[in-house]
Amino acid sequence: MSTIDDLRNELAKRAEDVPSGHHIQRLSGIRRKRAAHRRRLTGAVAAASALAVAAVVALVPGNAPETDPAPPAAQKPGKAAAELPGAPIPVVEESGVELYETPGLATLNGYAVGEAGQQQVEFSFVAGSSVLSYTSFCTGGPRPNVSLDEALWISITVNGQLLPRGTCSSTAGSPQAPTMSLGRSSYEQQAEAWASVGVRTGERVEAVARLTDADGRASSDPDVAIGAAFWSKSNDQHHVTPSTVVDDLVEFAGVNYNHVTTVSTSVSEGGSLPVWLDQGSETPMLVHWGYVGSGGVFTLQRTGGRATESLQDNTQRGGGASKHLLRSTDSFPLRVIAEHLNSGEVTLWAALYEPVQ
Amino acid sequence: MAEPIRLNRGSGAVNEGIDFEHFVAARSQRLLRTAYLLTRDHALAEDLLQTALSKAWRVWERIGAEPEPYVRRIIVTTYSSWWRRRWTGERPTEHLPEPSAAQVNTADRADLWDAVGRLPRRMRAVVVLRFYEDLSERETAELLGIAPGTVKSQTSKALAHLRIDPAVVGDADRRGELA
Repeated sequence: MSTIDDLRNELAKRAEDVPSGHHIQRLSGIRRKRAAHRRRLTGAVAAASALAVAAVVALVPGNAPETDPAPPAAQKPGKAAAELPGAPIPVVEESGVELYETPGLATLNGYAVGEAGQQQVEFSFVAGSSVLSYTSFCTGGPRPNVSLDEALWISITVNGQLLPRGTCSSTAGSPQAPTMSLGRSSYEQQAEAWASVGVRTGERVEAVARLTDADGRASSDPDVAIGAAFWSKSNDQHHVTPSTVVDDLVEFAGVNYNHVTTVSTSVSEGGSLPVWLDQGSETPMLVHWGYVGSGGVFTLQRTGGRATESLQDNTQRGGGASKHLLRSTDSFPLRVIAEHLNSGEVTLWAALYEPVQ
Repeated sequence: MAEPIRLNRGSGAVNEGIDFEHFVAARSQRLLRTAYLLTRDHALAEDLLQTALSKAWRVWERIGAEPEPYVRRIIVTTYSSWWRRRWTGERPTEHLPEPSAAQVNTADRADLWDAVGRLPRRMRAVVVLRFYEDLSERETAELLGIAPGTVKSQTSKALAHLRIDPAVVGDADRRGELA
């Protein structure tokens, strides 16, 4: 080393070698660390409380154990974790509500959970992409099984613009995933729709969630807490028909699935689309399937077997889709059948996904 | 009707000067480079940075209008504590293997970099702060929580270590230079 300048140059050059990470992924990692920190704190508090209770019990006369305590029962993995076909999607927890951090192509951007009785929550976040998806939810016992007229609703605005609303449905203990978006299926169309309400990549979004009645009037319930969450979505899609796109990574029941292959065909009444699963293994596969062009009855079923899932559509022209998890894919054929078509031909399509491990 | 409450949970922590997300978007790449020079490992650097930022997030509203020095300090202190706790994979090598003739030219840059990697962690932190971050002795001392005189002596020792490091000496000899 001849000079300190050599050292400065060396450090500068090495620093330039660092690949640039995306700050959205970095924020997601930070949230995970915060959630893990909270879990550790909760665990430590619970453990400390248990120790304190045990110490008090032991100190009370007559409560001293007469025999050695039995060893604790061996812990088993949670039922849900044991049954998941792939790696569980990480979640963050806020006021008892869990939210998926990276479901499919989405990355959690911002969220808020109010307090019971609070009629409105406001929060802001930076849009990680030009397309967002969102959901709203209630905790604290919204009335079940009520008609839509009697139900409570959550209206959401971003930057003062009203979005399609959702009912005040309970979180029911399962993590929240995005359920709503704007625009049609293609990313470009969705980006246009979000731009119309002022959402642009890297810019702050002001969100407000309000509890309302069916007519949109402000409402409140002392037992109900409302919340909302927004995710940004990346543009990794491809067409399965000229007018239909599917995501390359999709969430289903807490697991992400990677796209493997897609098949499609045009059929008339009674026609079908063969979907061969020849993975030759017990790996579960997700089938994302649908139709475009005509209403009718569409059924996913094993060839020669009973129906697995059906979609009915009474419209003259339309489209629909569904996802179905096949626990075993040991080389059996499936098909999508088109029946009772309302008009002409229909395009059937199916995309296969395998779980991310 | 209850008054609306503004929540800044999740990703919306703010302080008077800059909000957390914008800070991460604007400054985290620069901080990642500092973390990399300390850890010498891309994955560990990202982990160190995210850990430091998550710590900063908890007190974001109290940090003030210029959070970067505070976050940098968390990076350095976390780096030191992690090193003691769990980073056992990186160990100094006492005897370096002789480079082959073919390796000599391509190894020029690696020699000094390797020598920096063999510095004790506190010295390495001082070197990075002084010669990459361009902090003064006083600023480095404040960031590390040590006396300016200690920074001065650590800097001198670090440079001395580097000058006598066999890899650097070998490199200088090969180039016909003397430290």
